[in-house]
Amino acid sequence: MGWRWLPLFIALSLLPFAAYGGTASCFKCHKKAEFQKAVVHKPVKGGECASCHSPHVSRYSGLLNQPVPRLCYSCHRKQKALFSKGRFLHSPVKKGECLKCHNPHSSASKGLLKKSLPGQCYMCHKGVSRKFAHTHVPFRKGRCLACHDPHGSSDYRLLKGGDPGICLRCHKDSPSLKRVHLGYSLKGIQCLSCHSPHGSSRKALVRESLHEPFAHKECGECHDRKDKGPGICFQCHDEMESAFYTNHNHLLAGVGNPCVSCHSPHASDGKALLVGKEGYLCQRCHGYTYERIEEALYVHPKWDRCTDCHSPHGSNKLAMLHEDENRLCARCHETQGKFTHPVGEKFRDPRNGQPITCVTCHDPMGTMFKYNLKRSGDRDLCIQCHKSY
Amino acid sequence: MSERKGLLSFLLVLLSILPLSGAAGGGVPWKWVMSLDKDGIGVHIKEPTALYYDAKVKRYYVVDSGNQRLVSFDEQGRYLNQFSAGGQLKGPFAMVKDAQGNLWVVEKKLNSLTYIRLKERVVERHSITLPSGEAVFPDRLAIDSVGTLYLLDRGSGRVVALDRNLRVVKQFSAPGDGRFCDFKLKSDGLWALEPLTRRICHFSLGGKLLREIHLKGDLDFPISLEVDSVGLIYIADRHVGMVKVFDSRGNFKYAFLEKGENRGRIYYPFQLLFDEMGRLCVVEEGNGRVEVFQR
Repeated sequence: MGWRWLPLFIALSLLPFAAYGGTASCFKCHKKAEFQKAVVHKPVKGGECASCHSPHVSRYSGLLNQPVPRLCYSCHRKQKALFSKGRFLHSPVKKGECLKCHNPHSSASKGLLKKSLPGQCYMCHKGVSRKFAHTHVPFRKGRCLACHDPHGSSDYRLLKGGDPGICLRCHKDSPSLKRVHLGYSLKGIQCLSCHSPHGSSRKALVRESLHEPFAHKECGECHDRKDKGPGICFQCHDEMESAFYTNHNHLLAGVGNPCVSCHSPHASDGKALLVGKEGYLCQRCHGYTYERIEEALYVHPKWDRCTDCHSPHGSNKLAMLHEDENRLCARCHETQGKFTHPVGEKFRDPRNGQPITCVTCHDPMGTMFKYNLKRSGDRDLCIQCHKSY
Repeated sequence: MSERKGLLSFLLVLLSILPLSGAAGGGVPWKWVMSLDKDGIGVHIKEPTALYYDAKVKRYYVVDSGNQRLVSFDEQGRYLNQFSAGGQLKGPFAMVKDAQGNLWVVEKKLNSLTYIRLKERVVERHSITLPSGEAVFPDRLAIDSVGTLYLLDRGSGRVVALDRNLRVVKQFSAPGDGRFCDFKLKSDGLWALEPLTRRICHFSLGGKLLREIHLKGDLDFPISLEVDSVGLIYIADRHVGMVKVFDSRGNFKYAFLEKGENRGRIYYPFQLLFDEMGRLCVVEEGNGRVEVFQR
């Protein structure tokens, strides 16, 4: 025999796979029309079914050669590199769920999207599809991708550029733009803190809730003051000042007047005049916390409603909680502490002499153990204190 | 014979390398020495926020914020005394002692920089304002050898130097309008930590920015800094319960400690401080104690 027969043997053994690449046998069962829509994935066009699928058996659903997204990234290397740089990724991208939006064979829509825009986006972003008295033109036309990058961005709203840059691409910085802003310099402004990019009941897409001086056009109330710090806000919101007389507070946030890093001094969509959704606002500075939560197996329900537990202004309690851990948890977990492990001032953690609280055993932000326990509840957690257990 | 010699020289080389490998990675050169954790009758410290070391009398003063008192310990970690100004302290947060042995205390609850003349039993509360008239929100506090107070203003995020009349005479601000969360006075100037951009700013005491150091490496929630005699920078990473060490260019060197409640672990650290002997003290808000480590 010898080695000279080896190439022939390899060629013969590869023959059956080559036959599958031709697809004729695939279409005996799989409807051809599904693969012949307006936009066709390159391997499908080339009849290379076997470049993604194993025709006999596979460990992955759809008889795929590799799991998604690894399979997709084996060709789309540029995208893989690009996504790894994006600070904020679209949730399906982060989870590697390419097929949530894309049809891997063929589609009637550009980019092999399962549905045309904006329908594809509204599949998940249900609340966005609303009717407004005044609507932003790209939104009305369903051109979500005019402003958003569907994969990832350096902006938490997945915008294609920073604010105001993205707005000024169409709304050129002109004297008339300055005029409608009463002559104030637009340098360093953030359009989206006052204007809704989708629509509003107000003209010029101004957001729904207005700061009182802004509503009454009393700009000087804030702008004519000498000080530039939080004192501007405390002159009216004096009840808030003492919230910052605390060991932990958010006076540190942002630059300039720290209040305006979370609150809009002009307009917003909610009563608290926040400059963004609560979860996203916190994420801007507490990004690592969010990453940790996303990696945890067990997380607290509604974990992105941060202010349910944390005081947004200030607190003397650990982690800026509203109050003592036991009392705070008992707001929702009413029966806890009454019949479970003893908690409170009388019961001390032998490791540090501090009162036992819910947080002695649980980490509400998320852990790898059931019930958000800090360690395994089978034994590991208990023997921390009960050594002879 | 020659085989033996070879083996011996191999062992010698190995032994000489060992200490280096320890310092660089797994074997961290810090060992737990003691905890400052309770008073003479066993009442535990609660939510401590700061530590002051008085080199003159070789005493540690823990700001026991949760119990509204200051608690002192000797160098061996033995409890000495406690002080609450007759129950008058309201939210003590930071403290220093002046040359006369009197106390300056930041009282958060009253937004006050408070002077306590111990012999006269007098408590004087002061509201500080910036030259612009804006109120200062007192936070971290330090005093230099000539009695100048340095105060971190949480409102502006700047460190301000105060004269004897508590007027702001100098301001140390982060370039680009950043905000400091901690600072340390050293013989070569003032070092301040800007947490959002993970920067250290080194100023001369005259207020000139000497250099900015960008900390490279994973930092989750930097809360406090220290600088040792050879210029290594120590950062308390609050949420992960670690101390991370960087060289003077901001390159990550090593990390030590881990999150937890047992001795030698830390939970919600709040401040780092080197004492006179070069021992690293970690104020742990979560475990209600100060852990002291020695090289």
